[in-house]
Amino acid sequence: MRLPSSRRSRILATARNRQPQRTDADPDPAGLLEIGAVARELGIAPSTLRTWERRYRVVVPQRGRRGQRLYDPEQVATLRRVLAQVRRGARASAAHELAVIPSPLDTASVRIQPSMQAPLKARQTVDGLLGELDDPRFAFYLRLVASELVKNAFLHGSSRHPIRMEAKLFHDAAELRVQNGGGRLTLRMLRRRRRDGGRGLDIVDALADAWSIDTGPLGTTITVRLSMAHSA
Amino acid sequence: MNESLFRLVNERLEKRVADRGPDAPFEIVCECAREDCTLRIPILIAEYEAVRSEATKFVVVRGHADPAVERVVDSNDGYEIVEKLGEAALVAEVENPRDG
Repeated sequence: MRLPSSRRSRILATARNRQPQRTDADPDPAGLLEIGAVARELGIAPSTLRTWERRYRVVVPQRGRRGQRLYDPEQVATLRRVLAQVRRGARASAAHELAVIPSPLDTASVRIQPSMQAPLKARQTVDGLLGELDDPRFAFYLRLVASELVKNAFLHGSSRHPIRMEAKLFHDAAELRVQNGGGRLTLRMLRRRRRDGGRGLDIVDALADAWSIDTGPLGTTITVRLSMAHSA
Repeated sequence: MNESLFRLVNERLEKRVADRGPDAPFEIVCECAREDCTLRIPILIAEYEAVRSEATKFVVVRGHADPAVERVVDSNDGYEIVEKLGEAALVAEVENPRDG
């Protein structure tokens, strides 16, 4: 059956309005990602993201001018945590509960030049973040972990790129993120570096509640979470 | 006292390998007073346990002992065992993680 041309035009126009626009041609200055890009980055189907959003209401993206979902970096990080829990065998509902991190009380972010002074700068940054916090053991552990991560970044990362350290203080925990430029880390390299002196990760593993490595061709990011209860 | 805090870190490092038996080697952090010293010391679990059996003894890299607060009571190629003196000994006992 052939529709009258006027009706066919209306349907095509409606379909065009519903068609997602190419995001490549319209990069968002705020670093927001559309659902397809997020799904590709996480290696899951966009429908999974929509289902999680509808069921759990934990990651609810804002909408763009065309009604498309737009995820900010914090939401992508939350989804990454959800997915990590799911891949460890957690139910999606529990994974969402575990993935929610409250807003930090304070944040410190620094760029540190790769040098012998880098670990000292990391400890000073942690001191500045903690301020008058009266928990010497937690403060010591956090300084030690920051110092070891930054030392490793200096020893094994690119000497041409600054080390970035971000520290967040929560009411009962802290999160450190240390990023360095350089090539992808492999398990073999980690083992060799352990023999050669890059051994801070066993300290991190002994002191942290949780930690993760995200490594790629442009560099490596290590994220560590320490809780005050775990330090006691 | 940083030495006591490093001792806590080392207790955690030992805990990770405790099931390997007394002759298993592992690495601890130097238990000297300097917070920026994180030099590593290879040690057997049995050797580490012998030091930990006395609250006032600590393991440091050779040359890191501070004669003002401690004396060297044993040494080998890799490390020295120091014993805290005076008030430092008292603090070490009070902060002993294995006490009670």
